[in-house]
Amino acid sequence: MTRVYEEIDRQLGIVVATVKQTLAYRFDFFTAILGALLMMALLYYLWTAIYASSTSMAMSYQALITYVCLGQAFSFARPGQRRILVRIGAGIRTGHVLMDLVRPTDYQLLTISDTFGAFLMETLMVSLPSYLVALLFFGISLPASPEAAFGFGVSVLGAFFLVSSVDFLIGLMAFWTMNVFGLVWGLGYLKIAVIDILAGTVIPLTLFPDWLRGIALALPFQGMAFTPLAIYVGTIQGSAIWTSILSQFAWGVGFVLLTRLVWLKARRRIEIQGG
Amino acid sequence: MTEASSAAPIVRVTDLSKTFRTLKRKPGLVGAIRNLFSTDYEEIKAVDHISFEIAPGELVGYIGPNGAGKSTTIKMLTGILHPTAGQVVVDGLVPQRERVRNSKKIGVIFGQRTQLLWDIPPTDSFELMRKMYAIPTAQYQANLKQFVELLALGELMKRPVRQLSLGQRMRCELVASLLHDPKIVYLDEPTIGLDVVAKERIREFILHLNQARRTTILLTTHDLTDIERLCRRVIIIDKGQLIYDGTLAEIKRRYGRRRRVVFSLADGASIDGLTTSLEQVGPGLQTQMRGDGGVVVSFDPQQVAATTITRHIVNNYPVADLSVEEANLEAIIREIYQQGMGR
Repeated sequence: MTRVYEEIDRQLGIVVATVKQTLAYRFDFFTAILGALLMMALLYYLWTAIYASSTSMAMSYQALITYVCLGQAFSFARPGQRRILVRIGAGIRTGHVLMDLVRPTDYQLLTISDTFGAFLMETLMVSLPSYLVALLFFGISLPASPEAAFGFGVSVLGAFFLVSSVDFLIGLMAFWTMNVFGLVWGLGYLKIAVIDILAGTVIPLTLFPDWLRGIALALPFQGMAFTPLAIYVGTIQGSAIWTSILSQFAWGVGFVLLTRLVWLKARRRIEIQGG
Repeated sequence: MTEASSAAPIVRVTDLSKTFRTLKRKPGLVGAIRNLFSTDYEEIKAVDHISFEIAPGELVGYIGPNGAGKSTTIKMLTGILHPTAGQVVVDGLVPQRERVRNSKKIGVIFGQRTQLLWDIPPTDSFELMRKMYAIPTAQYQANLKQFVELLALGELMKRPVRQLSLGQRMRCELVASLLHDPKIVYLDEPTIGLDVVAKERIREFILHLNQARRTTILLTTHDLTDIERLCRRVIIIDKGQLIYDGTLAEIKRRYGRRRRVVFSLADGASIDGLTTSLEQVGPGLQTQMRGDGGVVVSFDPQQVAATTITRHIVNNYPVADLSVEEANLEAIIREIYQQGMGR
């Protein structure tokens, strides 16, 4: 038991350290909020115009606007949410990963705890303020029901877990190729595109053509944005809330297990650059 | 330290090898494009069948020219790198197999990297280490208090790490890696880039760590003053191979036989024919002209007496200044690096 306590305490220590670090650059929060609000405004006017000129749509105007604005407030495509990729990528390129690997903890756990601290701060300092602005100025709705509100909260955590597990897997590839710029950062940008499009941040999956929606719903990426947003606006409701959250975590666990396998191989291959 | 050497070793390195496989990169733009498809690998033996043991409480200097394989050895000792062949046992554990357990017993400093959180004061990094190594509060506070005193950290504790000078930062690095009372500490170039005062402070601290706390230390450095001040025993490696393992005194005795006569001539004096005339004084003399007009004659005292050489010089040339010097460690090591030992 004491070992479990110790490990929890250790991970909390890492989370707290990240929180302190992010607070050292408070100005970043303002630019991130500004960025989120600009994207929000863009999507708001875009979708308002699209809605005005279309005859029928699978979502109500109010739900649609709420969905896309909320999607910008709680987005995992933001630079602040790329901490794992940056840490592994820069760590391998400079050899700094060495200092992470001598610690008495699991490397994956360490990077996820580290990024969780950043996620907490982003949620508090960027997502929630942007959300409040959206409530007040873009007139988005409150959660469809108390259950939707709770489900949204849990589902955002699920999305964090899913995104982090995929990020770590992408980051690990750099141990093979040592090609940080091409692979990790390139795939990092691909990840943004995936979250914006396949995860349904910019266009709700509900509005996809049937065949494409089928594909998107079968893939794990919907859990990175569509699941929490659709729960919030009530597109996903009742027991479906919990099955979709379960699916987020199941994919997350799946990626973690896959990562463990890759990591076992990667560890033997580690080459650390520089003196 | 003599009683320590009879104890069971705390670090045992047996026939350790590490081979890296790297892509042969071709230069230029065409080469860069070719590299994309190339499967032309080249094997580099970073560490080549090295064996040594370290007894508890020893402070061993691990030296060698750049690229000799020092850091690679340390990375294997920490359990991060897996050996291609051979084995490492640290305090009864194979670090690669029990990396986490091993990591709690060791402290590591890589002089060229930082383990401190860059944007916030060092105290926050120390706090993280407290959690990371589950250090009991009393132990943490006692250690921190002592280290802060010994290293005169005081004021630095409140400044963000990025604002610290290299010397100040290195002092904080030491604290961060020692708070959990590691039994074994690997210091990879802890004095790199520091000024003489900062170096001396670090050395005193290392000495304290070894003597007062009985911490086993493996130290790599390019500054031989570090070695002379701190280590009785030195291991020298080159091109991945171990070329010397023994006491510092023994190196000097074995390889430091050569002494030097250093002299300069009065203004305007000609040094024509100096080399030839000196060669006739005795066997094995080497003459070197220095940039400042000085002349260095190195010789083996067992073959030629210093007086024979000095007398020859004084009798034949207008000497302005002359001295006889013992070979210093730096000269010995330079010679060893350049020639390899008996290879």
